[in-house]
Amino acid sequence: MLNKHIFKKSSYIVIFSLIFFLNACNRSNGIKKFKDTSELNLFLKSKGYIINTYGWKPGRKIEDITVEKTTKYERGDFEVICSIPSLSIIYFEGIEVPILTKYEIETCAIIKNLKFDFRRVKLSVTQLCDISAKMKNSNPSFYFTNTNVNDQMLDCLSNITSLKAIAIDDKFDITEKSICNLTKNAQSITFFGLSEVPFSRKALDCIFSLPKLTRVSLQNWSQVPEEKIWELVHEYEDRHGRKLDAVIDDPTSIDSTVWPKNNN
Amino acid sequence: MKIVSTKPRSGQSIKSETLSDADAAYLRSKWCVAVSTWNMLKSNFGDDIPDFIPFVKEMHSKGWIKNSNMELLRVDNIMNHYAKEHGKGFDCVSLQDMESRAERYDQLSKDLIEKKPESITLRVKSETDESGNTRGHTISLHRHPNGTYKVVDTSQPRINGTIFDPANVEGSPLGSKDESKNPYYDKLPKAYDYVK
Repeated sequence: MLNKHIFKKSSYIVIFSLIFFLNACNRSNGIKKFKDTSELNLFLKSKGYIINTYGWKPGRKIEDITVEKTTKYERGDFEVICSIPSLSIIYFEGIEVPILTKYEIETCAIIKNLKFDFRRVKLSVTQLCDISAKMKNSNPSFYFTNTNVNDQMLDCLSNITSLKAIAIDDKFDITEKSICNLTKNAQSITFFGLSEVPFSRKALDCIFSLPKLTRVSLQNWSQVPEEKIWELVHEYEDRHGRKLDAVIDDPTSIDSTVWPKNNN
Repeated sequence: MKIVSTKPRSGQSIKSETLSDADAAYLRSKWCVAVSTWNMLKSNFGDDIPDFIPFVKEMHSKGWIKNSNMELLRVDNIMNHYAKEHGKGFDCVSLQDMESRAERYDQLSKDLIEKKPESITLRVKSETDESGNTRGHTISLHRHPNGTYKVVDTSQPRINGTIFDPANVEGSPLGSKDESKNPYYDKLPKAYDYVK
């Protein structure tokens, strides 16, 4: 009788441990707890994450995190990172973007107004579409500079009806059609950035059909002169009776010089 | 895919023979190296530096500005020409051997705090893109009595007039890599010039 009871008890333990073990396989050993920001900073720093671009300083909140070449990402890290309430931007720079777990994406989806900023990275379509699907109800922003963004990815982003901002610069494989599909669905966009593109006036009409724009950055459109884009900005302002913050001209030039010429 | 725009860049369509004061505003918005160099000299030597158009004409007559595209050929000569009159010299400091934005701005800040230059011209430059192009731009920084610097960039209202604080780079718009704060968010500081 007693033996039977013990057996029953231990089988419970086995079952509980099994459940715990299975859980642990998916969700990284619970979210790591930290005493304070300083301890959290040490943990992230030891894994090669860069905090606030210049490193964390005592008394400051953690606002941005950069994942780059020297970062040693481990599954579950983003459950920690996206539990930082003051976090507003995650930069991925010069890497192949790690595939985040379902739990990591879910944790990040809770943050309001989170900005994902991809620079010179390789990004998988599935990954971006997974993120988009989970973030349908938050207000994320997506920035792509020199990154392999394509039509499929834009179609996934267009499912986020509360999308706050999008910017695409330099390297891309997108068409006007997907720009128009995006603007038709994600009417919540307040900032639209699209530079170095061979698109026509049609894509601009789609962008300026967004009702909530407050800011645009539309530089170096090879098919549309700057004066024309300014005209569309002013028309938008007249139509909506408010100012639109616009960057159209590009003051930079191709830099082919060895500078400084007489470096000493 | 990289589309190179055909619009005039950095003074390429400007011809010195026809320059007049009426062109000054246009030049200031398009010709960053000349404008920034002039701004820096002006803040060091004040009235001893001519107004912008006479300055450009003088530099041109000395052969330091290329006739065909108005490129500034010898910034070193231009700087020395004015600095020597005041018993001063000029230095050009490269930041290129450092890889990250943080390292470069940390170095620049250290120099600004230690050397306290009245003003500098700062060249910023993007990473090389797929087609091997990089884009660059020159702006100037001017010292306030409290040790912070005012960013002057007449072609870019979003950064023009902002404060660069060498003691708080992360809190300065120019130091930020956030697009909403800094139009040069993807361009790293490359080199700076100053009068010493």
